[in-house]
Amino acid sequence: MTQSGATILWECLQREGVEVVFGYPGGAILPAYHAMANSTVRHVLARHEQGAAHMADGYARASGRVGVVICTSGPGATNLVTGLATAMMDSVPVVAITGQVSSGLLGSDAFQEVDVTGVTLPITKHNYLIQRPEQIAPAIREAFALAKGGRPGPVLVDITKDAQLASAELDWDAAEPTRHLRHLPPEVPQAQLDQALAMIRAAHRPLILAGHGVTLSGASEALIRFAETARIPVAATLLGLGGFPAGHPLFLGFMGMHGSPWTNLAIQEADLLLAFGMRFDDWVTGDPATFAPHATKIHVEIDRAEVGKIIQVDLALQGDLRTVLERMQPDLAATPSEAWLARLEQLQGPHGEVESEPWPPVPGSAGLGPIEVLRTLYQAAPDAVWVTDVGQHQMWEAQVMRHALPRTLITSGGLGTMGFALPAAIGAKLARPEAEVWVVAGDGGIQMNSQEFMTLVQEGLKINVAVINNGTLGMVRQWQTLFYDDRRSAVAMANPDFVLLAEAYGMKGMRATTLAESIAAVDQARSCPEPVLIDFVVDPEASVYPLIPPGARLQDMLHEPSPPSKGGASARVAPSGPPLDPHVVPRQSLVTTPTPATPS
Amino acid sequence: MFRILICTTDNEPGVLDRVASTFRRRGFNIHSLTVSPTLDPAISRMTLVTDMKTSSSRSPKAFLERLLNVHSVVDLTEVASLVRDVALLRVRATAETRPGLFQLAQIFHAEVLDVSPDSLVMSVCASPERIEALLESLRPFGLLELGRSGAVAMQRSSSIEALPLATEDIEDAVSF
Repeated sequence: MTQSGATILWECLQREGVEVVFGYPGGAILPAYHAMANSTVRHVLARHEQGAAHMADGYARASGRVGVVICTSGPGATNLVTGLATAMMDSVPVVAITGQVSSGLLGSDAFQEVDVTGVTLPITKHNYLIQRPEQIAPAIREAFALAKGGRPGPVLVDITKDAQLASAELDWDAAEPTRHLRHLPPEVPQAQLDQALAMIRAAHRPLILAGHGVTLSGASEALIRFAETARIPVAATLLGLGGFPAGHPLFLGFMGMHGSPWTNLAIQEADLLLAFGMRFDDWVTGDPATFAPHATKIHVEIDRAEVGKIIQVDLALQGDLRTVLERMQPDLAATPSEAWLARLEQLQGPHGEVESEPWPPVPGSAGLGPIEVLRTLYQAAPDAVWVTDVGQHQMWEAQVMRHALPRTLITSGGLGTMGFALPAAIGAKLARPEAEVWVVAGDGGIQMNSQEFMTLVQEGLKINVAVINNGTLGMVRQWQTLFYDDRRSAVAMANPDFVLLAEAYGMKGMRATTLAESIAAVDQARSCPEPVLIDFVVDPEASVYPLIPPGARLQDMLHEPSPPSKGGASARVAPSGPPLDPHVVPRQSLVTTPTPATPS
Repeated sequence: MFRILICTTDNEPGVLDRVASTFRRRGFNIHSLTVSPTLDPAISRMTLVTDMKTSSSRSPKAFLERLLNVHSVVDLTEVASLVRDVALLRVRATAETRPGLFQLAQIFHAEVLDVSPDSLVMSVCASPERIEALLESLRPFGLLELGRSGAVAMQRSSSIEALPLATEDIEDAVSF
């Protein structure tokens, strides 16, 4: 039986297990939208294709399944670009389907024609231009296999209008993909695992650097067992947060540019680094030439191209992280790391005592500290899925929140895409309807895709939105203060009344200007059945500390100037002693909590 | 120094674009690139030569291997291999200089394809290094036009690899 290419498309998506797609219709994709009515797939109508792409991304990050976005040719497809690049940089499995002008018009600069496969070539794992209906099933099956397989990423399938309209047989079995198997890494040789185990056994100051790969390969539990058995502390990259429980006694914290000072110092003092599913991003390494100078380095990574790209390593195990950890587990023993764990305990200092100190208000400012807002949010909903945008609030979130589980922090790490949070949260909520989902965004980022408030309302989703509103592009302002003579160029923002804006969209809006109002608003928002936006009016002068200036050594962190002065003028370089960090809530001791693997 | 890669790919539209784009994006300079179908018409073979002096120090191999359409990438830089390049060149020739040019052509196994009163065209298939030497010899006569195919390379058979190699072939592979 023959059927239209458009019908084949939806049949394939259903067979791939797709339950929801995010999209926006238009001329060249009309046949597909016509056929969609006969499918069981739910369509979420975004207000902009970029929003739809981030929704598919958020859906994938929250669930581990492939997110699907569909839109028309030309401007529809070019609007996907930022979303695809975001997913590419963070290894998120997304399949994008775009309509294309009919094959006879290709290359003629027809209405809404753009060379989409050309445009998206460097920001997809692969893409397809499909001009015949019988090519649809093989392309869709391969696209899903590629998006999920190896190191995940986005794949785009561009289908001409005539291929959607013409008829063909759907031969599902014949369309089974095989080409994606070419570059899946072979099993890691036992000899390499033995070599790694020997290096681990000999280490006195070992440290695990946990990246996004922990979550992507489902290696969280394997990593916990590994770290506990070998008695190795764990530091996480931004996208690694949640891959290892933040409350675990062996968890050190967030590393890199805005990471906790002791985590970065630990990297510089370690004698063995175990880099698990991370890619030594420049925000993580600082100056690569001075990164972890005393450490032997083992890199477990599925993507061969990441090995040695930034940091030369002593041993690279190319493969799936979870498999590698599970295979090493039986031969793992406790490393002689107790003195090291005690040293890290000392590096961390008595931050439990400063936890109750309020964020020092800047004279003449509104007085509400953004860190206080993040803490309030965390204390109210520690188990929520937090979807953050990009900028200061994103770093504060990573510093303050103690993510206990994978996929509870969704954020654009590699590309740093402002406007990501709101649409990504819509995707996340659809992937996990039972979860409490919060957007945390700045006043700048929330306006980059604020049209998606309407999508949220139309879909009847209960998502709360925290706008950390300092009336300025805070991270840019901070960099101008620190590195550009405090000349504030194009950072002051006049904002809409966010409460009224929320209400215009049919949400509930609230405003908080003090800590007491913040606590009350968060409580109200959580108990309110409708989606709520809270406009937290915060101190515009607050800056994110500590901070490693770009290209500096990890130990050369800048700390909060004390006392804070307007303009944040004189940040000081870290002394060698244990630094004080007001951001961190109390945590368990590294050394006092016994674990079954403690050496006798 | 030059790095020579043999890349086999699916023979389908757009693959050259993907390979070239990978080189551009990762900062590798393409010195020469040749593409042709292989014994299996579904598979193309590319010989890519990069000039490492002007390229990123990373290895392009792993980035190429990420492409779906790429079957295999072999780096011939460190192994014994054969490299050939075809050149067509037009050189100024008068009645007086013609005999000298013919003599040079003979020495370099070049073929004279076309003769006119004031120039001639010759072709040569040789190692890139030998072609460079021919060009040097012809320069005093007046080189008018040059077209080169770019290098095509192949690894020596493993049975021969064990034998001592002619120096020229080893140099072909690593230095041109």
